[in-house]
Amino acid sequence: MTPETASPPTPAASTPTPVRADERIASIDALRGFALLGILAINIMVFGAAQWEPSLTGEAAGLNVTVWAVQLVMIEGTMRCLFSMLYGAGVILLTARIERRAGGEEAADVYFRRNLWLLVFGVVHSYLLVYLGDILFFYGFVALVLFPFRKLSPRTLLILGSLILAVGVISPTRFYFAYQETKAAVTAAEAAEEAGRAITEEQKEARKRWERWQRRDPEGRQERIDAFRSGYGTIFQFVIPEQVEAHSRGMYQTWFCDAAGMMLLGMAFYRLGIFSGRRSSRFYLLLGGTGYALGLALRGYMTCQALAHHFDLLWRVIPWFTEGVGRLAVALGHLSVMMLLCQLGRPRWLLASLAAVGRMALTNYLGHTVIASFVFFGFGFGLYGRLEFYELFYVVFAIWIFQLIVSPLWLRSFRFGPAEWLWRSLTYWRWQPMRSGRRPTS
Amino acid sequence: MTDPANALSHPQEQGPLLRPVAPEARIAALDILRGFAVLAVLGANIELFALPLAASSQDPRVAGGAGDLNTMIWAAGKLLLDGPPVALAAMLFGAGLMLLTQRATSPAARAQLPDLYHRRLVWLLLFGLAHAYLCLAISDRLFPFAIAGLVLFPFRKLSPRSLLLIGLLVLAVGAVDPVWTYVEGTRAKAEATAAKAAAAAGEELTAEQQEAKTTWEATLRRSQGDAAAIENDVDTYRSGYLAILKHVASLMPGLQSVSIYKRLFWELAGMMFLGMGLFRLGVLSGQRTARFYLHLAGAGYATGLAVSGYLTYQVIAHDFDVLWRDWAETYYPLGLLAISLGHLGVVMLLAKARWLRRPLEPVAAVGRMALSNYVGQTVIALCVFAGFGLGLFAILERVRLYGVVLGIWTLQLVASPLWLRHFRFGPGEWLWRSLAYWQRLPIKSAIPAREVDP
Repeated sequence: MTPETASPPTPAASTPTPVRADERIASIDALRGFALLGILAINIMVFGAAQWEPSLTGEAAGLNVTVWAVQLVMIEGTMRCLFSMLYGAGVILLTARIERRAGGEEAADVYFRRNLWLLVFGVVHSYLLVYLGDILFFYGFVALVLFPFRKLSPRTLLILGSLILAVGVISPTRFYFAYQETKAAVTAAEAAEEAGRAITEEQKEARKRWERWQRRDPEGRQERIDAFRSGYGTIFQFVIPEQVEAHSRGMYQTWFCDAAGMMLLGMAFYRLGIFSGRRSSRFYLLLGGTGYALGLALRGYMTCQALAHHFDLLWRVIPWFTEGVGRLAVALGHLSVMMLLCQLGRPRWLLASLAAVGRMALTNYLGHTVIASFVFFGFGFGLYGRLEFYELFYVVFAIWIFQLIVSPLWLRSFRFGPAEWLWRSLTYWRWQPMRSGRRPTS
Repeated sequence: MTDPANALSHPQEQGPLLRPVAPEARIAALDILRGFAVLAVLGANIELFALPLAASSQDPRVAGGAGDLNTMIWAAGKLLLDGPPVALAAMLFGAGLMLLTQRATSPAARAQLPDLYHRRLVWLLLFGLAHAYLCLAISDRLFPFAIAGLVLFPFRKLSPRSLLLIGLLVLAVGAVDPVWTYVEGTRAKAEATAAKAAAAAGEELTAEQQEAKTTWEATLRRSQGDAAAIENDVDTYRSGYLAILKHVASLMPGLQSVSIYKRLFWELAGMMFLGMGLFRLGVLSGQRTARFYLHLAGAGYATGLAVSGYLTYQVIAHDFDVLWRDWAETYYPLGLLAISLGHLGVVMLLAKARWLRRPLEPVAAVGRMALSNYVGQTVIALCVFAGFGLGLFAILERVRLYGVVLGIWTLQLVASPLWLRHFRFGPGEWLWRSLAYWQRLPIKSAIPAREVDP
């Protein structure tokens, strides 16, 4: 147990209050900012209708494939991994701080109120802001489950986290077998057609299913494109059934294990002092080197296979089996680079900007949705499905630069980002002071 | 998980920690209510244990025998048992959080409270998974109970009024999905009817019209019980454990996610909030007057039987038409609330009657080992209905199914008091508490006095 949690709560219980700016750990903020910007490089594929495939928007050649491959090896999953781990670390940070000041019961109250509001934010983000890739709902729910795990030893946390990530492989395994079966039926149908025989009803259905899964069924894709190029009302109606599935079946089969496993690992890493840059440079060099070597080799191989098999669906599932290790390894590489930069303290402007982005992570995350919706959806510029794969990253760079500039400027005048301010005000059920320089009332 | 004794560094200075509540300190009315709820739950679940899924979720006439008597039994079960027992158990679950909060009087106990409560939920979640998959229970409610229980904690100090209000609100959200289903169904039927009329007039149908027609026809076929699915159910449940497990594992992800998200969460969490409020008002623990419970029962049954009775009657009169069923579903939360309150009133009247104290002891004993008995029902039912047991799946008529129910009730009413004469907890309760407190609790009845709650 770390000293924070071992110390008894102060008997003269004061009311719990939001963290003061001087209490924040800069390296964690910078890492969070980094991960948050990284997440946009993935989510842009949802906004831009690219759906993890270079062939849907533009040709699967040249720059499109290069960008796709780099993105798949270096970014995919790693930013979500870092973000989940940081959320796990945040669980300990928040509860330990309030337990110290006001006691265990108060800490739990703040914790659960906070995560229930996050759940509500997730619902708003998913339905009202029509974003088809929200993580807030999952984080809010998973955090409710993980509360009693926060005081476990790093060893136990690492074991449990790995175990949950292993359970997460069950679902892709089922998909794998379903895909394999369907693909066999499709192949059989092709053979039958070539031989001039009629294909069965089942084979027809298998073919339809296969096309849908490949996201190549032209009708379904056109329907989606038409919907997102229309007005808000149409898009809203279009996303409802998909959000219901994502929040329920998606959570059960995929996202719970994905988030819970990484959060538990994050708690362990926080306990081990890895996020706060307290480890030696040697440690980070070693960690990063091993992580990159292992992760890039594994994911590089998978990506080459996917290319060699022309983005075959089976090769989109197979990487899921090793992703627990693969994305974690690359994420640890990113983490080490960030920690080394934080230890160096350079480039100063970038670290300071990233920390500012990280301090208003929720605002910036929702900001991605608001900005990208106006760029891509019908009620804005309607570029949905119109940009080639590599062109999507122009939008990404523009948003990055915007947020890297605006976030530090905002925090010069205000204590919190607007969404953070709302979240905290709701959690503590009292308006929090917004202007910087003033202490919250307690 | 951490040992609760180590969770704080100076427990002695901060007063006693929470311990499992001693048998003497239990509130009799709560145990009796829980006992009735657990027994009644079997009356609803027996259909899921013994008949193809379509018989309980779609058209009851596809299995379980024809004739007026079987239909009447179905209707009575639908009205009184399909939902309310689980709802009462959910109310008691909410009351459980309030009890735990009340018992945490010392600073040390209060600091321990959130961890204890949520550790119990995490273990319940795992029990739910084990019950659902390993015990092959598509009827499982442990898993959704744990999910709904996760949102309660920060609400425990609200006023009874706010709790009741939140409960009603949450319950009402549960009507969104049925209304949506009904509206979609009406639209689909209208489109199909228009397409049919066009076809009858000799017009060439567009692709959309054709699809509307075939989709609606498929819905109608399914609503009367898809023959292939029913046959598959019967074959599967009459075969070995692994075949049933495979079948259950294919259904479970949907049952434990989509069903909870759309309906069960709202129903259970709503009832839990109501239970928290009602406990604070002394309603659940039998502290109100007999008059109060009489009024509660009267008002509850009057509303519930009027609304649900009318709708059930219409569903039967319209030959289990799918739209009538969907329409009836939209009133489900209202009917559920009313009938549950009716049951609550009656049970509390019974629990308050002095002369019934002794006869109701077995019911209280069933309630004290609710988890064990709940899982026990599943295990016994499997032995009776599954292929690896007696293999009576889809063989008995509804009338006879309730004979099996009576048998299991008798067994549990006899076995539970006997067990509790020798042991402090039921086996399931002992395991659950031991895991939640993360220490091997004594299960034998003779316990040293210092471990008894003050």
